[in-house]
Amino acid sequence: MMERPIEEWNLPNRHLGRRTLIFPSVGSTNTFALSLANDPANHGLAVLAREQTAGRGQHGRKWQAPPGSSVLLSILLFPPPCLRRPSLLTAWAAVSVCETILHICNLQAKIKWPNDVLIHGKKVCGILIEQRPSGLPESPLATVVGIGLNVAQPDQFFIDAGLPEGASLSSISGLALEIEPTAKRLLQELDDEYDRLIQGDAATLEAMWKWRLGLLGKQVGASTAHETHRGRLIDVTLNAVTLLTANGKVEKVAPEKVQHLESLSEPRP
Amino acid sequence: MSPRSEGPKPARKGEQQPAPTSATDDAGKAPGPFDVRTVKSLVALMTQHDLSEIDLRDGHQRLRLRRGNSQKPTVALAVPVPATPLTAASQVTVPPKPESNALPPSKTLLEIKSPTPGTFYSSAKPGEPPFVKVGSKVIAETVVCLIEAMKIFNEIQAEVAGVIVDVAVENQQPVEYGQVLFRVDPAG
Repeated sequence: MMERPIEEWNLPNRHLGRRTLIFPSVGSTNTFALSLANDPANHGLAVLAREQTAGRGQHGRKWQAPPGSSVLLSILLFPPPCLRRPSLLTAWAAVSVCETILHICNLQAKIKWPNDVLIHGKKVCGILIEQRPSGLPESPLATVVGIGLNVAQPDQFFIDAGLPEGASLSSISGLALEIEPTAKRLLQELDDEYDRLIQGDAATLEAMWKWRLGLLGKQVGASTAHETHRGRLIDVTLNAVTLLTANGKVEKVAPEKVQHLESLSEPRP
Repeated sequence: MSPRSEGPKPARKGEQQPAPTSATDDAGKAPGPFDVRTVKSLVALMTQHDLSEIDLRDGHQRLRLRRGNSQKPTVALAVPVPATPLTAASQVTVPPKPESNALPPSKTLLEIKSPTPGTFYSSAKPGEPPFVKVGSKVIAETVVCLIEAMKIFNEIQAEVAGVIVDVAVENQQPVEYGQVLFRVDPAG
């Protein structure tokens, strides 16, 4: 059954969310957005739902949130080749969520590699980015950025759900927050950063991602599928994770190959 | 024919290597004495011992015999043949079966390659059946797997039509850019 939006926003953004469809309930905002990938005019279209009945996390995991408690948002993009790199897309989404949190509740969130957003060590956001060939010659790759940002759940929700490492913006900040203004702010942050990227400025995103990872100068382990590189993290860019090993050797690893990047001197959050 | 031109090597199976009393030279030299009876006996030995290949050299003379095996297509595919890029898929030519009376045309297989480094997922979620398996018919739009890198999940489509004859990687195996994921028989 085709879901019907109850409302449509036309936000004054440059690229994303200029058309945002609001649903009371939808199976999965990512699935719905991907279903619109047959028309290049839908670039930047956003789908926002109060509730998902079949919300998806990474690799088929369920993503559940009480109706009206979270920003459940998906944005459909046909990114140009220069913006298709996984490190760039994942950093862009995570950094935009962090900037939203800063504006909404004045808290500095951290990013746990590659894109978990944490406040005081608790996860407040899930990001699911999916790509598929669109069949459109001029826009061959459809990308959907799905963001589930916990906004209004009380502490008890995470206790009852057996998610002691989860939290919401309200549960941490103590503020009474609403979904729609938060969603609009998130769309604005995503749009601002996307505009910088389209204009060739990836350095701003890179600097914010690097800072919010919070590991520069620390002893870290960077695990790939085959090995763990250990050393002092001397740089993180969209192109390389660079470590200085104990024997003075500089090792660079492509970010797409790094599955975990974590401090060796601090306990996991 | 296969472009392979490495030096002498033992038969792939078993240790029997009949004396190279007669040989053809496929390295461009003048052919030496050719004894049909010897070749026949070698073919009989290959059949008897289920050998897939015999490669013998004596001085400048060389004799190489191969038996095709329709039950084990991957054995033939192990031959490294230059592939023609065809976006995500490419072609591999499998040598014709040498023991056939009338040599069939070369069999062309297509390869589905990974467009990105990442982790290969054969199904949409754990516990679900794989998107495709050996014997599955695919068309260009058929989703054959997911590749995940930095928590970004890429749906990989076949981009070719045919029947999957080989799944070249294991579920959740790390893959590199351009690594072959599947082989497809377009005539299947």
